Amino acid sequence: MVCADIGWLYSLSLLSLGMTLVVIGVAYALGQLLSNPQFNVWAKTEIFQVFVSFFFVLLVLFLSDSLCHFRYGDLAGLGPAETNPTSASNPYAYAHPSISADDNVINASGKYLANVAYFINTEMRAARSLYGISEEASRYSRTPCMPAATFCLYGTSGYTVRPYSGLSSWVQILGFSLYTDTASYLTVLIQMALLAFVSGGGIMAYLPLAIVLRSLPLMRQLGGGLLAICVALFLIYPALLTMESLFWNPYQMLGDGWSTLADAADSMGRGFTYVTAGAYAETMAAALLLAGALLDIAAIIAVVVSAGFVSAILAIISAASDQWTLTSLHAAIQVSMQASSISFLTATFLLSLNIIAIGASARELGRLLGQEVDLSRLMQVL
Amino acid sequence: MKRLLLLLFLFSLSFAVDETPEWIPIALLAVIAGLGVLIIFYLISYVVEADQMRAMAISEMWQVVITGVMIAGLIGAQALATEFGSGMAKDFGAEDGDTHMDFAIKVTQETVGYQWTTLMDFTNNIVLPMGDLASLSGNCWLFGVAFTYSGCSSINVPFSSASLAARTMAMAILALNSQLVLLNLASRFFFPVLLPLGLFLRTFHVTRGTGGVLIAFAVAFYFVYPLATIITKGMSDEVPLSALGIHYPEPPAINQVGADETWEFSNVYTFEVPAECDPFKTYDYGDGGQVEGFGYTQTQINYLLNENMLDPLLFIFMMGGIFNPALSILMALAVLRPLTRVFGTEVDVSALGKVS
Repeated sequence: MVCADIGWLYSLSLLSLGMTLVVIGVAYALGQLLSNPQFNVWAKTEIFQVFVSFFFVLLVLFLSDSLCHFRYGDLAGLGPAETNPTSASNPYAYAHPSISADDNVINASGKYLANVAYFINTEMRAARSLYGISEEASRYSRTPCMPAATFCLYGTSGYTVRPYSGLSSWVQILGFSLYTDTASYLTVLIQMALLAFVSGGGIMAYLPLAIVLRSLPLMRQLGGGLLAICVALFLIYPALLTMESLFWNPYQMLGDGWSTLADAADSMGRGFTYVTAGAYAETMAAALLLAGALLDIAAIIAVVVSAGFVSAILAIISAASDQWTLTSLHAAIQVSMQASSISFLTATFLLSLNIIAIGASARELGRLLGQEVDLSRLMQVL
Repeated sequence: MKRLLLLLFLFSLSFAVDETPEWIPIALLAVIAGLGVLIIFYLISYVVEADQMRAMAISEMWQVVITGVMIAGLIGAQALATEFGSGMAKDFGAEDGDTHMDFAIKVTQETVGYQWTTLMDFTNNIVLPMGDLASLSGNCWLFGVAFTYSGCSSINVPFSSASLAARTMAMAILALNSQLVLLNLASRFFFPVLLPLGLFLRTFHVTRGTGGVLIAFAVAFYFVYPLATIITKGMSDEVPLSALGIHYPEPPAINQVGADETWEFSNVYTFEVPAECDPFKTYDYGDGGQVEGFGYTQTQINYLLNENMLDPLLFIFMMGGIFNPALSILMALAVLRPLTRVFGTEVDVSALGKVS
């Protein structure tokens, strides 16, 4: 974590400054020795630029250090308690994982992204379960007992029907929803990876390097660009994520629908209530028992066996209290569609905003430091 | 010059605000902080005798002044949007006290609610019963010899159309749900949070680009997007459907799924399907539905294909659910890029257009 190693970065930056000053000093000495004014001019110009670079690096490290020590609770406490993401009185406070008031801004940003990922993952599981149950119900078929008056002795003659085959239209809609959710989920994972990379400190290693590069011939633009990217990614990105975590809560946006969504997410294998199938089995059982009473003892034994079979069938297909019904399925699909939109806007739209803001910052700062940084490619990749 | 004139025009309106908006203190704090930092730089420039630094501090001082003018302009814009937007919203049916944002959210919620109810009607009355009928087949088995005949499979043709229509409706609802979330995002996050943050960041040279982008986002999605939503909805409502020869969809009041989740047209005890389609009576199809066993199916197909069902569905869902939200977001994005330029930066928002 960069927060733990920031002192090391200060030392490394000082070392870079010292090394660069030595190189410039050697160049100046060479200029004097060889009576070459070009060396002397270069050395005088670069000595100013080295201190400009060092000043920027110190500023970035100071601000980074501040981010590491800034308590999330101090920021969250600015708003009302009922919307405070860390408050126990807020029913929509983050819980996957919970954000502590003592977390620093960078940790809190990571936990916010984890909460968004959990929200989208729940929506994905819900959409997958609803997809599955819609498909299962749409393929369920039944064959009647024909004719009933002869106790179905003609076997499977009659009609076969799939009463819920119309639910296949939901299968495709939920498939599209699942596709969008997956894209949103991947986007959040990318954001988490980016934040982990930034907060891991890898990118900060560019800062001491930038001091050296900005003073080398032909390398000033590269050094300036690196410095600009560091500032944009390490300062602007976590700051924007923190703001989003404080003022935008997807759980709150979904409101009471969250319990329905969470329930749907855990409903894989719950099954659908086929009321008509249960009634069919009851009819069949009654018919078999009646037939058994009229036939000989061997047949009665067979009927008992059949009745046991029918009971087993009944146990499978009779309605359990938690099975899906058409009404509850439609209600869950409605919530899932809302959650899908919230997931997409929270993950993809806000990420685009963050990347655009980072790109704009890097561009302005890069221009100031001698290199216009174009992050639009990176933005498009993300 | 045009930008200056626009800001001056809005500046005069800033006095029309009745209550101080919540974002003003933070924005003013940003300006004061920026001013303080620049004064320190200016003083240091004298100490170290750095003319370049002094010139930069003076140049940046102008940016602070511009930020101050921007704040006044934004207060004016908010007053203008509240007055003009509320007035326009009232013309389209808003209640007293509704701001343009409140009304845009309300309009979208109502549209989503209506479309969901219509989709449920359509699903329960048309799609599910028709799928049930289309799946019906007849089996005959005697002493090991059997045949199966899907005599009702021709109903799959209108059923596919109905199924496609239901999917399109659901897509429209997804788009409207996204519009609703985006409006809430603009109302709860972009304007009250990103705007003051943007003004603060814009004060400093190194973060001016970010600040400009955030301000542009806040303005585009708080002012332009809801107004575009109201206008597009108003445009749709201005022309009554009856004037276009279109009526509100009226699904048939038959074959509804009852509260006990059973099909009314299926006899659950005998499994005889009493009327809709008899797969063994293939000759029924040639008689235009006059013969026994073809009544409900014919009615459903007629409802689907007649002008009271399909046309209004297409109009309401395609216009209200897909075209209008797309138009609104296009308007907001079209304004976004010039706005970033006005606020001191220039960014490529084409990726956002693709996302949207």
